[in-house]
Amino acid sequence: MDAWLVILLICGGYLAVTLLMGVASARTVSRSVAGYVAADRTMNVLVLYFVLGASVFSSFAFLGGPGWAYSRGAAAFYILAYGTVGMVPLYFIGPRTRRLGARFNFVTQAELLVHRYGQRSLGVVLAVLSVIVFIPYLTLQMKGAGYILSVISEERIPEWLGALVTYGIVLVYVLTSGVMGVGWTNTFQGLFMLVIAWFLGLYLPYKLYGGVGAMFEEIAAADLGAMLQAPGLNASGEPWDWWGFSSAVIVSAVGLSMWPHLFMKSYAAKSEKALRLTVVLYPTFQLFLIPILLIGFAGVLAFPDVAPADTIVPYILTQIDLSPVLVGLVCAGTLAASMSTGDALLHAAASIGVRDGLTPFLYRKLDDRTERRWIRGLVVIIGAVAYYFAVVSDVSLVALLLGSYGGVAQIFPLMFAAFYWPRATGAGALAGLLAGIGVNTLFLVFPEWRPFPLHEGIYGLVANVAVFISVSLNTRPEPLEKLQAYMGWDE
Amino acid sequence: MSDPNTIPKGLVFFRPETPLGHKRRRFLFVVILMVAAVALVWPVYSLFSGIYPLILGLPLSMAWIALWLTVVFVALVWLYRSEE
Repeated sequence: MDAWLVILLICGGYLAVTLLMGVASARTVSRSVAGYVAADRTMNVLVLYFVLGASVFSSFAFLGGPGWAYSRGAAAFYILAYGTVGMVPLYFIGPRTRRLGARFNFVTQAELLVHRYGQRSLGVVLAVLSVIVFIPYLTLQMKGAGYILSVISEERIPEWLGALVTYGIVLVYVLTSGVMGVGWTNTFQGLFMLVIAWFLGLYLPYKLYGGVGAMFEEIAAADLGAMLQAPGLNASGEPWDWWGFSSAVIVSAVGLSMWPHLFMKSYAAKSEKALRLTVVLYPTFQLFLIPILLIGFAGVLAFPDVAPADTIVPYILTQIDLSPVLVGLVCAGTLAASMSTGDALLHAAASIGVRDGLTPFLYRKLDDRTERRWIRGLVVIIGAVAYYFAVVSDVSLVALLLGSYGGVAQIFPLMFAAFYWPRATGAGALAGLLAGIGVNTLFLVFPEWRPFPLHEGIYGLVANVAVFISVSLNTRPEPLEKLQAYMGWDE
Repeated sequence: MSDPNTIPKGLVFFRPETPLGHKRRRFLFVVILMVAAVALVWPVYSLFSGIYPLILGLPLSMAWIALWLTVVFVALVWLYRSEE
């Protein structure tokens, strides 16, 4: 049998299993909004662990991560660094979020903030922010899936078809099963990603250099040795500055737990204990970035001058003499990384769009069935828009996505104060959030205006906190009874 | 809306009757977390940003971050077990 056929059969097998698991999981939750968006608050540690891990690591981790290591060396360590501390805030605020969600029937991140601050417009700002950030993010996942299938099949499968098939499957299981479909498939996909990454990350250095240590010694001895020195190189191959590296780590760490599609999984947890344990175990998933980066480093001396750098993984796969079964598994692993993030984004964007952007402003309250139907309708619309950008439009989205971390980080002060600063008011929260997003966007668009070469998110956070505190202190706080629920005083 | 004078002005991390041991453990954990965060940025990271010595085959600059990932993981396990 031809090698490409073997590879495609393995990818096809992976897609079939994903589809079956995704559709079958519909039977485990009720046919309600709480079931569709928050899994009836019944997710166990195993599923939560993989939902969190597999949603964080997208096709960017599988293609872009090795690409960074390959072209920018130690700069890629920033991805490893921010995840070290970035998920920990959920250990503290996650259980309280879950409790309040069950009590007041929240299923999205914004619902909690809107209730705590008594400020409906917060929900709209967050819904707009989420959708603006999620559509390019989802588009990149579709592009990644189409791209890998096209390369591996030696262009027998065009990118538009690869993206259409994989995301057609995602659409089917997100529509039928909602968050449980995301959960079950992510468990399978996450396990798959972990095994493939560890295998390939240890195997490639061994095969090409005789071991990981030998590989780094060779790179260090070559002219390229400087790339291993933190903070590595910038996009143009010059040494990166510490300002840029450190501030990128801080902004990303602050933002990580605030991503709406991750944060809202707090509501899905079976218990507070299950949620805490999931956060405790998260670093074991994060560790898989080490083999991921080793894959990129393996290309540095063996395959110089591959451009663009993101293509280094498929490039290596097609250059070395690897069994087609293994290539097929790696290809399926990349699809898993893309789909396990894409499904969570698609599901979250539609849920947030309807729950935060639409229903609070309707003249009459929607009944549960209608609301669920609207969410499903929006799933289809958002999927179609992202697909349009993925195959038709030529807008550059990577920059938009990299810039989005600064925007998401602006949610952190509001969330922190919601639980720990009773004096924080709705006017303060809204003013702080708008100031933060405004300043962040300003310096994102005009980076030359920054007084120091720091990540734009830092300036946003400073403006955010300053405005938030001063406006809060000059406006009237929320009723004490409500604040006590957030401070955990009335348990 | 309520009267600002009835609302605590500063940060409130615990319920009034929280046991001292619980507060102390959480405080210690947050200190460890902050140390980890500081270790991963300039200037502390710049002291450990070189290539040698290789640790388990990894350059020092990479092993340093893996070390702090491990420290945070162990601290989380400790905190979780002490609170169960």
